[in-house]
Amino acid sequence: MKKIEYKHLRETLYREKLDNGLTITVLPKKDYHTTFALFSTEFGAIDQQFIPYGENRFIQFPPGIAHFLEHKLFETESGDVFDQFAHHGASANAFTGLTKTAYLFSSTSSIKENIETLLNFVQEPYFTDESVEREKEIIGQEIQMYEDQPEWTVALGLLKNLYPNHPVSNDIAGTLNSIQKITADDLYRNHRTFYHPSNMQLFVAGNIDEKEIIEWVKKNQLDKYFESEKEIKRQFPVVQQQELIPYKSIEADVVKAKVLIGIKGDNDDLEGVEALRYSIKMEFLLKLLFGETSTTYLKLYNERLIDDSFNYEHTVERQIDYLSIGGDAKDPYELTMILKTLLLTASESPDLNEVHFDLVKKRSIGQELQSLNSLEYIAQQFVDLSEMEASVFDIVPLMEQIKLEDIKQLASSFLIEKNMSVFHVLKRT
Amino acid sequence: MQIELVKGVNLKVLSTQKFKTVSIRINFKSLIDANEITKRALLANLLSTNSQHYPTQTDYRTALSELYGAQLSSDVSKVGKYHVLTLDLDIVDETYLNETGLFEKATEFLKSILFYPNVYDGAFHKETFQRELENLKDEYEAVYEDKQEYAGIETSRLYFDTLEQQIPSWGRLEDLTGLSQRDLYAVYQDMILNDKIDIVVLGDLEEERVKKAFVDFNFKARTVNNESLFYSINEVKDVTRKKEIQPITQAKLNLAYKTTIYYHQDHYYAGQVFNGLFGGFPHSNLFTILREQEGLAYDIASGIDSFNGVLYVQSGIESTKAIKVEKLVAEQLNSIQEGAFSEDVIFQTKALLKNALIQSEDHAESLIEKYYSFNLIDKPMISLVEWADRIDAVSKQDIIDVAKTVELKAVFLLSGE
Repeated sequence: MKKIEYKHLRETLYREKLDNGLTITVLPKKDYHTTFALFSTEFGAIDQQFIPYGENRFIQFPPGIAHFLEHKLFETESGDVFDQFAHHGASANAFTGLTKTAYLFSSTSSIKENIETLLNFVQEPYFTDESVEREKEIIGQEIQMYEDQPEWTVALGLLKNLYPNHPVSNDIAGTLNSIQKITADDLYRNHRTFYHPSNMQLFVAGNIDEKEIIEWVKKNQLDKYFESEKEIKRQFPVVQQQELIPYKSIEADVVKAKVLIGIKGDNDDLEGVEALRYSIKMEFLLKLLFGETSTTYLKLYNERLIDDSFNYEHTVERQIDYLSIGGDAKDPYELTMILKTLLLTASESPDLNEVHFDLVKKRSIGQELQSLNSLEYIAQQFVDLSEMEASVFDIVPLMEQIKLEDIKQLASSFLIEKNMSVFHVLKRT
Repeated sequence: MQIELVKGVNLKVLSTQKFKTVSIRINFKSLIDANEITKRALLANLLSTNSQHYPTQTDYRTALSELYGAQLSSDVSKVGKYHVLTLDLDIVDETYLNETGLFEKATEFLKSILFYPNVYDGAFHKETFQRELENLKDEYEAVYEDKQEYAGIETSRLYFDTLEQQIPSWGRLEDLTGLSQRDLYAVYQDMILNDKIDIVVLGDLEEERVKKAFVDFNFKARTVNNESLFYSINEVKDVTRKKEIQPITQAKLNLAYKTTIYYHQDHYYAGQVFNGLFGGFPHSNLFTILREQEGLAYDIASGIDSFNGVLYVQSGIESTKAIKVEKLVAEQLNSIQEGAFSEDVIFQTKALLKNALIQSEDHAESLIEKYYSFNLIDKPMISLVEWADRIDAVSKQDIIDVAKTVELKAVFLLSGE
């Protein structure tokens, strides 16, 4: 068991890798009543093409299969998992992202029983053809729910522009058509490949004893049979070969048009501390250029070009590196032109100055410390950063190290026109 | 103990070392007046946009950034018969920073924006006023794009019998017409002079230090209204129904029921267990039968507004299935009224309610919320153990009895073409 202390934050982490390959991280929080456990696999919506465990050629699975598998694991041979959790006072949930799937519970009692339930339902798949068919109706409703949300339409539209013909641009839940093709056998082959302990990690935080937790998990895992660890071979369209689509729009029943501008990068292979540093630099850059203390924000707001829906975000994961910026707009074309110009001339922006930089840094450090109140936030960060050498508690010290010069360099290397794309949702005429 | 700063203005310090933050909340409470709801919503926005000392948003937000990303937000809510305007300011506990006096700087900022709003000659700054008015108008119009929220608002409009309760807490479009910056200043003055004010501070701070900071605000004494908080609609005979068509893929079916479930009153605990069985949790009837067994909805749940005694069911379904869904929801309620549920499912529901209750202790915001809710109903806060005991004491018969008092009053369907 490895102990990592973060004295300035009064936090201590414990980590251990079991013989079967499972990584366990424990964060004792003695003041808290809640124990929060998150069991996640490095497998998400984009992982559709791979060599299934024990086979020898690449197979293409239907889009939406990771999410479908997440839904179906909640049904076990002995009944519904929610009942088992509820019996021990735990509330449970799960989510599928582009590159990860995570299962979680939170409870204030019966921690051992709940950890066992979590490990068991995720590791012991049970599907029947009949229950797979019924799930298609439920997920079909879920897909339709998102179709009525214009923010979702614009976000997915931008991804389709930036990553055409790449699974990143598929809806995480799949389409009404693609989910029809999923079979129980498909689900078993995906589970066998990606839910091997060596591709998974368990994070537990709360009023718990680290030794006890690790012992419980070890015992649970020793009682189970696992196949030998094998390297997972995934396949993706090669990004460089792709043509990015610079502009697309659709019309919809909206009150105001929606604008989203994206820029694609190629740092999706960064790992550990470097990935974290990159992500923080990008956060600083966006806050400097468009944040609430930037001159740009005030000007655009006062000129009624943007409203409270204005937003910016940067995402970096396996296969994915892009920023997006936009919101509702009375005049989508004018807002697009202004934002494009601001992005492309960013390295000369008057908002990139030392005083503003210090202010943004101060604000970011404060906000990061505030978010550390939340076990949910901390746990989520551990799912995103599965690397051993970096953790959520390294963010504040990393923020302190970054210089304005780093940000300026990033602005001139990242914000370039050939990697830029625009998506509009326009008012139906 | 609660500290009375002056009559009608109270301060409570909730001391804890659990968090890396200090949270400050100021609540301004007054009886709901249908004519004032929208104005107070706009006022909340104006107060968190700029002020006399910080005349632009950039000045204002720079000051907050200087306080290590202090997060200021304002909001309005309806709690039974009262309308509450809330200012929240969260800061980092200074022991995690190389700083002293951060709390005093933060309260100094609050005092400044509260007593020196962006007002000249008895009226709010014209450009700011107009910009925020327009922003609020945009927000009202944008509700159309959030079908779940839209359906929720329409359901409340059908259910309630008074304008005060029909208008959402954040107001409505038509009340913005003709509003002047002078009107808004009058609303501000009324709030600062006459509203009941409750200040709650949570964090690792000594009471004396907190008190000193707020005594300095020099609030004026005021008379306090003691009218009961709880609202109940008058008896009406029939169920009110409305169907609206929009170009959407997924229909929304919402139902509203009159109940006798009120915050920490006689039926509260049984009501919580009943709601948990009915549609509050993933093991509930609505979730397991309508979603898992029948595949009729991805999203279906029930919830209680325990200040107005309303039980809501909301669902996302296929338009053609609306009649079937409504029938099945009625059957689920019926089966609980007839006692068709096991001891085991009661046990599960209680376990989850207690879990949620204890977990709320780990969130600064929930702790403040809980304190304030007891304050609103004017009852001493009960301990977690006592609360959990009252949940445990709920019998099967109690659940049946409370379920029998639940009456359907409004049905709203937002349907595709």
